[in-house]
Amino acid sequence: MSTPVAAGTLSASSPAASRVWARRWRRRVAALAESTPATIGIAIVLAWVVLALLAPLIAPYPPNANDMAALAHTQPSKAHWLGTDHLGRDLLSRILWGARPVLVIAPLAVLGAAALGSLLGLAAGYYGRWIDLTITRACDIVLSFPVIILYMIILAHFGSSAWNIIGVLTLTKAPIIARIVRGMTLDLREREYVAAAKMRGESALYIMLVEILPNARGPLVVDMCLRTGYNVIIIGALGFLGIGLPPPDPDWGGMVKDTYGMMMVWPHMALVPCAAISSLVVGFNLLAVGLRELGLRD
Amino acid sequence: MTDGSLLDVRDLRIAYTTRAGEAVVIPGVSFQLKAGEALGLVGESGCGKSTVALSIVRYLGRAGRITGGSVRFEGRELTTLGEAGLRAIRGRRIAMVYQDPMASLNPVMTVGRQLMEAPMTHEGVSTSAARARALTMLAEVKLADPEAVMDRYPHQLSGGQQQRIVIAMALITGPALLIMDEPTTGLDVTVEAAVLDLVRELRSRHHSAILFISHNLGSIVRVCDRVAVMYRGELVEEGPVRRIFTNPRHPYTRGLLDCLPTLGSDKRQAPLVPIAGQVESALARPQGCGFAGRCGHVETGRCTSRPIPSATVCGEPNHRVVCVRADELPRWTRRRGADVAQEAGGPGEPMVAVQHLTKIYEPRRRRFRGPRRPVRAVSDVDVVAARGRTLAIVGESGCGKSTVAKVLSGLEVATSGKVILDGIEVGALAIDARAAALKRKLQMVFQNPDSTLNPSHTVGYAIGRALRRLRGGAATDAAAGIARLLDVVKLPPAIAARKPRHLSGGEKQRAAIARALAGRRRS
Repeated sequence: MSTPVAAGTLSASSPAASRVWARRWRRRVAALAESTPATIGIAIVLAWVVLALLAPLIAPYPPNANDMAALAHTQPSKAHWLGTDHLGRDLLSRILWGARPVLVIAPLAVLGAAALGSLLGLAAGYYGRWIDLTITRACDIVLSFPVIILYMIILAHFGSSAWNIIGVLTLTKAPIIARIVRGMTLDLREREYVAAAKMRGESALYIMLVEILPNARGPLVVDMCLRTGYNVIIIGALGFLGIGLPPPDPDWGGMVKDTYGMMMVWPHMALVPCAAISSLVVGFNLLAVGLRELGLRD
Repeated sequence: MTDGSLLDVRDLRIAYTTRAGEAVVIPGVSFQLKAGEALGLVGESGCGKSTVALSIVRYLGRAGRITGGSVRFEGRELTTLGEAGLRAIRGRRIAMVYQDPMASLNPVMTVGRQLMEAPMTHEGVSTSAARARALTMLAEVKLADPEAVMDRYPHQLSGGQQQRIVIAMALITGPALLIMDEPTTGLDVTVEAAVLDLVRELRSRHHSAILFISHNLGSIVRVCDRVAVMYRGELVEEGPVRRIFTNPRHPYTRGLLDCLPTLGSDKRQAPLVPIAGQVESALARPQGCGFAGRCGHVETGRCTSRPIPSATVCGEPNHRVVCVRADELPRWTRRRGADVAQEAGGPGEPMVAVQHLTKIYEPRRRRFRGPRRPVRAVSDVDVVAARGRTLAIVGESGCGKSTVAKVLSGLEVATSGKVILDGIEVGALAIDARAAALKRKLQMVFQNPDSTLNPSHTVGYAIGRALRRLRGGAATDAAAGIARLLDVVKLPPAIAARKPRHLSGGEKQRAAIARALAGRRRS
């Protein structure tokens, strides 16, 4: 018997399938928009993404240009909406340009940590025994270090660059994700669909990636969203400690470091980048809250 | 209060608010319950029987709402009663027993404290008096050594014992009405029988009325005086147990009775007759009879044009039925399915032969506390199943029947003994060590419909993957193969695009059977 219906819905490339996909995504976004925290979170994060993308077009000045005339009056004014820093650089322009590295490094590092952590967690939870023991202990060791000191050691050794920061964040966050995934794998590997997969002779890798991992994605996505926010803080902290992105390109943490000494006189110089960091972190956290609500409802 | 009834439900309408709008799930249900009487509410899952029961104490959750009708209990109207008034009634005058005892018991409190809680908070009884009452209740639910049970935590008791505790908790305040929602569904058959007998005995002693919800007619017979049959949110037939069983008037009730297996006759002599079609949604309700789409006696026009009134069965004043043709239908006799042709000859050559199978689980060593005893799950079992035959392995939970299946399927390896599958010894072979041809020969259908299909994948993916793995290069057209397998288990091909959460339990299990059949050479 031939069944055009099934044939149409099964092949992934057909227009019907893409319509199903589009509909599913629209439904997900609509569901997310029902949650107030998620809506605010999406708005904040999206606003920063758009501002960062448009920085070359909308920033009123080049980020590193000094306006010596403005040095006499650094407070916010018509010429410099958010004022200038101690070198006469326009704060608004620097904030806009400074959003770019953060919004690239933080999510990339989270993706790296999620990939590495998921693999470790899956292997530990699925195989158990000595593999579990080795992976869990290794993760514990990484987690037992005070993170900031760990960053300082590694970045001092390898030098500071965007890629190195991504690498360090990946390595230090992966154990946390590995723990979450391991815990869920311990439960999911006992499900009957895993037994069914074994009985038709699937490989361990297939079972881990196709049968188990998709069912762990709910908590994983929420955690990734939270962790992106944390990464924004850490990137700021690294900049503040002087081991972030190399100057003179704008970096929110570095901007605070350069100007916090002048807090008593010109508080806006440090407060503006601080506010930028906070708002982005709050945005990611609210988005995570919304995603969690969504997960609980399903 | 009318004619001394304890509970009087009239034209109860219940709707759920969904994203798509308001969905009327119960369009209007009426029934009465006298003090001390037991009424069984029976129907397939999703027919609204739990919704009706929960609405009595207004436990409908945020989405559910009573949109009309009345529920009078001991003369008081419950649909409009305030939260405080409801609290005074819940647990004290109306108690509930749910399907899963573990979900009703607090895992971090001893059984004794949980039992004593209700009398102490509801009636202000002293600790010692509450303790004495708890002990008597434990003795009444026939738990050996009540003193010791008082100090146990729920996880230290078996499922049957837990359900007895829940029943004791429900009865300790002497409620006038006990609502039992599938109280024995999770229990073993032998334990179930004992719990049902206990319920019947306690009912006569405590003079509590019981509203007993079940999809199992057999357990309703054991406990109840009257039965109400529900279909698609409506009560289609109601009457004394004996009358319903000997003279069912509604075609749906007849269908339910035809599905009951009779002991001692095998699948060839008396095959069961399933009700045609599938349970229809309670939402898209037709104009007339809700069962018309599956009914063998339907008359277009009379049955389908307008709502069917409830009528009393001729000569049986307590027997109501909602069917325009009830009086025209012939007397019910148990239908028999068409005889299945007996296969020629005796049993063929053995497909599976288990010889002296023993499986011992070696426990993990405990430091400082000495070795634990190994668990002998299966001990010296011999079983032969001939090709093309069905062999049933029956036993209480924990008797080792699943272990035999696990060794057969290669998910566990035998400790000793032989398992010969189609001439090949596989007892010592774990699944990874078995050849592809062997895997194709042995597939399994699992117990739990909620865990048998991966919730992340569509049904079509699950079956398609099994086809590819088990049939290899022989699978020519995946979509056609999937549709054919779905057709074998009587599922529409469109279901291939759905995820398991959009399927009912029965549909999930059918899809799992289709997946297990993927290795067949011809289908």
